[in-house]
Amino acid sequence: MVEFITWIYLFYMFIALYFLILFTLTFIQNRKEMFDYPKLTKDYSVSVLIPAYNEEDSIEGTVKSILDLDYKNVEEIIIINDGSKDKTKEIASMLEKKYGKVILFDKTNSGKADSLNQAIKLAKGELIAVVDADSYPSQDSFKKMVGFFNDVKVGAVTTRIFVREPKTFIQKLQSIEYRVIAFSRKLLGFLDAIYVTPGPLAIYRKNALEKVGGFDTNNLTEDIEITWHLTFEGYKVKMSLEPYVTTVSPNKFKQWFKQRLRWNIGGMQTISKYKKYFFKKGMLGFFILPFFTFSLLLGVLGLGIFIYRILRRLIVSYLSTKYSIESEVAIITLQEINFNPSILNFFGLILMILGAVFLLFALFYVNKSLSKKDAPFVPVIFYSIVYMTLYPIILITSLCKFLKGGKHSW
Amino acid sequence: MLKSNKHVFWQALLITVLIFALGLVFGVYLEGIRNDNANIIFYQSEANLFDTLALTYLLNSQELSCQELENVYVNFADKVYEEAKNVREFDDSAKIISSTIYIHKKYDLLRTILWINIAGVEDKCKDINSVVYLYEYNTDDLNKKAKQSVFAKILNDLKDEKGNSFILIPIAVDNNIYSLENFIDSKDIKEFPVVIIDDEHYIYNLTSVQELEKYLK
Repeated sequence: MVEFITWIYLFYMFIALYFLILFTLTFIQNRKEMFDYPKLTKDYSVSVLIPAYNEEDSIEGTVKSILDLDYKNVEEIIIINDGSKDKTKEIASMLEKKYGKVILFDKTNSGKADSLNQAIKLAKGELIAVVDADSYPSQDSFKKMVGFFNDVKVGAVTTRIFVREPKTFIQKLQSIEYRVIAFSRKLLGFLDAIYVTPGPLAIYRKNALEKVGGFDTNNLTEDIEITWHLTFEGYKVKMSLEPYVTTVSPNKFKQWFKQRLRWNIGGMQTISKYKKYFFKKGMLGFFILPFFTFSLLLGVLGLGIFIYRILRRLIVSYLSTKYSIESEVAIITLQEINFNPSILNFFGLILMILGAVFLLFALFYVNKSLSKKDAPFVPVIFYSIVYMTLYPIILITSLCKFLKGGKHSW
Repeated sequence: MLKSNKHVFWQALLITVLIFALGLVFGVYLEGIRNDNANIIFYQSEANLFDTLALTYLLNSQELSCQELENVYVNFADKVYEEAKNVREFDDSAKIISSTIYIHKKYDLLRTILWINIAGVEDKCKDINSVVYLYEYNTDDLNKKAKQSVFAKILNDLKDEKGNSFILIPIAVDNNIYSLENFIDSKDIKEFPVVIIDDEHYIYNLTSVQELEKYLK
């Protein structure tokens, strides 16, 4: 009889294989449209909102990158100073005086979501572009994103995010990660299953934002929540793969870990909010919600099984070593090593190779349109191992913090 | 375009099921080959056992000495020991079909017959050294698992040192072999693992190779 644990392994392998094939098929069927973007048929007016909290180092660069855009109909650039304690306000004020389109909206600290909601009310554009105060959109970004709004059902458009000048090892790992994410997000876009419009750059239809009541101020990841909300209301979310935005990423492990915790807790908050729509309400209920939830559950369950089995092995190894020393025999012998790989080992190896091929292909593909290609092979493999090892730990910590409740900080 | 894109979910499912089914068929085939190989080896050992048993009958006709019989027993036990180790490896690797468990059981049965047979001739051939190791094949007790792995190493070392001077018979006691269960009951053994030397000394606690050597004649 097949053991229960073997069924679990087979189930995991089936799920992994399914998603690998799903992404591969989606790519094959849409490969010619990957970098396509609709031509502009109308010059939509765009209000750019830049929420800023202690961003004295980057705010000027962000504003300048927007002023440099080759999209002509940027109505206004609203810098929302969310009660910064540094010189953000002074710099924003200087920019306001210098450039006619820049408006400083100074307010007391109330968080990113609330800042955006207040600014949306002031914005005059048909489209709202949200740009993080440490992110620089590429010159062609708006031009290659706005055309998607020709489809009246499109509520939001996102683009590729790159890490700006990655220096530390953790930044280089994230640089690789962001590129792979860009590729898979584009594929999800073909399935109308994009689950986040990240903060560095996203453009929204203003009346869609108004319809959903703006950003959720109680959610740690307002960019995930707004995407789900728009999808829930029947809007489509698209990804423009050709342009990009550069952003800073955590340069220390602790910051990175904290950021991931925030993302995961926010994701859990969003699942909790929309849980009653499981297998209801189109792609949100039939794909995004189950995909997110089962990823979480499978991650936790997988880690649980892994820890259980490792602990058992460790205990047996410890006792065996102790007894071996007491009995004066070798601690380990060649006989204890099994040279007959099981079929699960074969399956696992094949899946790992296919996964690595997908990862490398995604990087190669995303890099294809760039002049600077910085995703060497060794960090890619290392990234995969480190990330896959750490991710379940982040997941468990996030779950504990989420279940514990209370107010979560940024 | 949108509608056709949604079909990709079903297409992916179909392809996954297909690839997975092929993988499972391949797995069953691969494990089947290992199983067949183990079976072929077993049949050879089975024939050897009958040969060994037949020799035992010759003992009464004075045409066979105890020393010759002991040599046959030792060779047979060593051969079975090596083969069973390989089957154990196959068994650990068998995930889809589990018939190697039955081969393992058959090996234990062979060794039980050998053990019973040796016990039957010990009166006549008092110089035959036998070391029977009784252990549990499927135990969840981690301490017992560790203890058994160390016992196996000790006996292996003993075999390396003393070579053909004794017959080593490891037998798993939890394979539902009724003859074995009855034989164990007759010896009033309740606890496992245990090493029985020459049907006289019952060793339940881990000890060194040197200590075990002292019990051998």
